[in-house]
Amino acid sequence: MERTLPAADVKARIGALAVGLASDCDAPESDVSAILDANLPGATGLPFVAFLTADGAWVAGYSGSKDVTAFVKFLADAEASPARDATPAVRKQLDKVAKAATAAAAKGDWKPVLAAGREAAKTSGRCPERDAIRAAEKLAAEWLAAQWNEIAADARSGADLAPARRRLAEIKKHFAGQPAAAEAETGVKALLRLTRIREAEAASGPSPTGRRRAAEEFAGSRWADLFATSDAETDAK
Amino acid sequence: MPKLALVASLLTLTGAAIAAPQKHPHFDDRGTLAWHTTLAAAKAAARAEDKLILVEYGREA
Repeated sequence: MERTLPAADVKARIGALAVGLASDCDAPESDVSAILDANLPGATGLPFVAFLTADGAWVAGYSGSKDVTAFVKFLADAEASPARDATPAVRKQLDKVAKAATAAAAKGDWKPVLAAGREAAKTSGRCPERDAIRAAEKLAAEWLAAQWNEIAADARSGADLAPARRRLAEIKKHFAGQPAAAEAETGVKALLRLTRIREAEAASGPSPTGRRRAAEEFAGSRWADLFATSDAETDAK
Repeated sequence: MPKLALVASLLTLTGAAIAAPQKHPHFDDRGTLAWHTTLAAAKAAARAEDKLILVEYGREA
């Protein structure tokens, strides 16, 4: 495996196909041993190598070593395996939420999209329904990234921060209960702090100490950069 | 959006937490795969990334 996995024909494909599970045969997990014992009965030559689905179902496997050519064939068989496809039960489970997610994404309503993503995460297997949910989640992620970028741009440019506050409120509404909502809540505090710094600077001139302290207060969050001197202020110097 | 960035964004969206993968404990695969050492962590990662799990069951040479 040490020589096979990095081979060009293998490396380019297997990273897109699988994550790795390194199991020490001298201290194996009982679940892993049970799967291998059931599907490679009597095997003795190490290593034992297998593809499993995300649910732990068997796809294919072998014991002993394979050269690159043989491993590429093993890889191709796994790529084409119907075991990778979602079961009819999973497709039925995801059908309704996938349709809801697609419709919601078209309207920029991200709550149903997140709910669909959570439902999909409980299942595995390729299917058009999962693809639809992924596409909707991608739109949600892109919308969220655009909001963060716009807020940062407003803060850097010295612009009125009211639109940025409205964006944060929208994020909190759409992503309630999710990490993004917590980040937005922190953002509200950061914008309030920036507003006060701007007011103090308007009255008394630049306050690099105030900005540094605020940046330290929000260190580790996306908001620390808000306290760098704004583009407009830099231009004015 | 690059695929890794998208996966990270989706995990951020859903708040999913997955144990960080690491290098293979017994050999250097030159960055080919992200390796987990428990079936539970490998399942979670595979589910999040719509991938299979490659099991390598062996010992250090």
